[in-house]
Amino acid sequence: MINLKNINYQISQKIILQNIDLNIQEGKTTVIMGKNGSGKSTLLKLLNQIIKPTSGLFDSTLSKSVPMLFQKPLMLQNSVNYNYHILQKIKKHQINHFWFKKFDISHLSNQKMNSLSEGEKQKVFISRIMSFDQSHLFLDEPNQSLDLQSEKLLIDLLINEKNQKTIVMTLHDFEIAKKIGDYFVYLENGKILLQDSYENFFKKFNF
Amino acid sequence: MLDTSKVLEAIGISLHVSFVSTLFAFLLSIFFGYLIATRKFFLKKYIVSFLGSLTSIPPVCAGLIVYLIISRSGPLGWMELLYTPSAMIIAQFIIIFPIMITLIINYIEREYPQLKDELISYGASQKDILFLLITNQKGIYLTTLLIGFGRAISEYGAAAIVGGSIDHVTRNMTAMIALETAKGNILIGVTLGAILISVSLIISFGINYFKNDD
Repeated sequence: MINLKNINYQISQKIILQNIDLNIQEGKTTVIMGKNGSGKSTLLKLLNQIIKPTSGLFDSTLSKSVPMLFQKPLMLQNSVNYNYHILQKIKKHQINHFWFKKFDISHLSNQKMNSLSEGEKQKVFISRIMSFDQSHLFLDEPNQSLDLQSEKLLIDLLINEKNQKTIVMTLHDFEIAKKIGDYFVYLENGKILLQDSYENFFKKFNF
Repeated sequence: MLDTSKVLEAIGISLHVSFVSTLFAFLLSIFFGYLIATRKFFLKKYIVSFLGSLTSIPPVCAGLIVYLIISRSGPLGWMELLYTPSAMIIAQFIIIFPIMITLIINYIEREYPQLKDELISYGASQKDILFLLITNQKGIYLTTLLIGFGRAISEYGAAAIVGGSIDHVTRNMTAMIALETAKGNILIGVTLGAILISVSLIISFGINYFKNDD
């Protein structure tokens, strides 16, 4: 469980998040939505303890941050394999190749990252995060750059993971959010305008 | 007449002095560049601006400053460095260090925030982050090396002031070209110039080859 009470976050004089009250339930999928620049990515980083709030109460069952999917993920200028194994070495964790196989990107192992298409890179980044078998997943726009077929596969695979993991993700696409989410948060200008479970959220949502 | 052994000696002195000054400037640029770029501290903005403005220091002035420091009556006169290859290395270091550290600070300031955020989520140490900052963009570092080395090997004013162009000791390629041209041996000067350009190009080609070998 991750609990945020009256959380504020600012960089220099700029307020990024304001009066955030949020409770992330274990074993549930929370989807954070909102316009560009509303603070979604910052909130995700804050939930994963990558950044610390400027003020407010933060409580989490996680003792430290876990590997997360960033909007602009770390791309090492080397082979796909290297991108996996160097991070595995840092994390000191055996990797699970399940997602790598499911996305059918095994044949890309020895290719240079910068020779891949944006969609292929995104599959590598998602598989890299999923390969650590962690209990909490923080995913920032995981479907970006994916074609429709790969996007469907991603959703199916995430739905399979839903019951075993706590997932927090940012999304722009409401249809995908409806398929996968249990709890929804809508941000605007760093403030939560609406948060609720599936039925209530979409009943109330009229932004 | 062009004395081959003297030319080879001058090439050797040029390469030795430029390699050592570039290497020192490069290692210290990485160390201090990393410290400056990754930390927030009082006066940081002024230090970065000051280093940036030093990139345009005229080599002759750098040579003059080093001369005043290491000359017999200067604060480091007791070290007897004047008119030695070490003095030339120090002068070249002063010219190229601001250029190299400014390039490295710019690169690290651009890459570090994102790299750090994601690597921290993997539990990476500062050592891991530094390792990946260096290995992830080898091209940036090789280009920095190349710029520093190119500037060092082609420099004349500072090395001439503190080196003194002493035969067999501090007469490097640029000093030899200036000397032969001043004596009216234009053909020898041009030949030496062509040799200097060739040596620089071979080294630049080698570094560029590794840079593009990704």
